[in-house]
Amino acid sequence: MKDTVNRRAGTTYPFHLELDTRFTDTDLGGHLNNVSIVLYYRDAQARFMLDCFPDLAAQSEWTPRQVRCDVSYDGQTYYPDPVDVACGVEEVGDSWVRVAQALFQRGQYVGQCSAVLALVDSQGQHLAISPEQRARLETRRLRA
Amino acid sequence: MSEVAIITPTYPSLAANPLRLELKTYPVQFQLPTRFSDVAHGKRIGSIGMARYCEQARMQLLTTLLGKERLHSGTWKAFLRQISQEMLSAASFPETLTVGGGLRHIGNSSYSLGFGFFQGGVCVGLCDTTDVWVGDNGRPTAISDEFKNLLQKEALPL
Repeated sequence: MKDTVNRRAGTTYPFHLELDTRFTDTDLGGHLNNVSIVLYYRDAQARFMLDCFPDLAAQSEWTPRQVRCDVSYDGQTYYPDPVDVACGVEEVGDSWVRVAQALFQRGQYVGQCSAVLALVDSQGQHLAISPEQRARLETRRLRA
Repeated sequence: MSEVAIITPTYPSLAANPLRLELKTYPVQFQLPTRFSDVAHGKRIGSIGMARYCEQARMQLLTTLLGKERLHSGTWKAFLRQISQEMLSAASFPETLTVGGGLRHIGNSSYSLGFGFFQGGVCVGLCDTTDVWVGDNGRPTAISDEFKNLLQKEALPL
C-alpha cells in the first residue's frame, strides 16, 4: 500500500470507532482471526459512512457496497481487549470512495485496510457521486 | 444517496489481467458451498461472506498443495500477511461457488496465492493472499526446499 501520510498514526484519521472483541472471533492460539479483522473494518466503514451521511440510515440499502479491500496484518490482536478502528477518506472517484483504515489495540498499531466503497443501484450498476456527496467526503480526508 | 448517472468505475482492479476472469487459468479447482449466514441482501453474498470464502479457499488450496498431514504436522508455519479481495458481481445463495486457485509468486520467505470465484461460469470475485513463513521465534525465515517444491507444483500462468 502506498503511504502518502503516516498510516500507522491514530492522529492521521478523522474518525475512530472502538469495538469490543468477541471470544468467538478467536483462533486456536487465542488471537483474533483473519476474517474477524475484516469484519471489524467493515463495521467501521458502515459507521464512518453513517457519520458522513446520517440520512442514509433511513434507506433500505443504505451503505455503499464494498467492492474491493486490501488488508495488511501487521501485528497480533487478542481477546478480550477492544480494538480501535480508525477511518479516513483517501480518494474519491467517480462512483466510489477509497477509505483508509488502521487498527489499533492496547495503543499499538496492528494493521491497516484500504477499502473501495461504491455507490450501486439495486441492479448492481455503479452510480455517480454527486458534488454535494463529494464535498462531504472531502471533509473527512486523512490528515497529513 | 441520489441516483445521478450510471457510470463505469475507474478504481484499480485485480481483474486488469483478463486471464484472471477465466476458470481455466487456475490449475487447482474445487467447489465451495455458499451459506445462508453469508447473505447480505436478498440472495446476495456480502463482503464478509466473501472474506470467509477467501480464507476457506486459501486453506483448501494449501491442503491440496501440501497435503493434510504436512499442513497440520507443525512443520508448516505461515501467517497470512496480506489479503486483497474484490467483488466483481453479486454471488448468490444457494448456488455453489467454483473456486480456481494457484501460486502467484514465491520468494525466499513468502508466497502469494491467487483465486477466482465463479458462479454459472461467471467470475464473481477475485482474491490474492500473501503468507509469510516464520521460524520458531516468530520471525520471517526461508521456506524449506520441500515446501517450495510443493507450492510451485500448481503455479498460475500469469
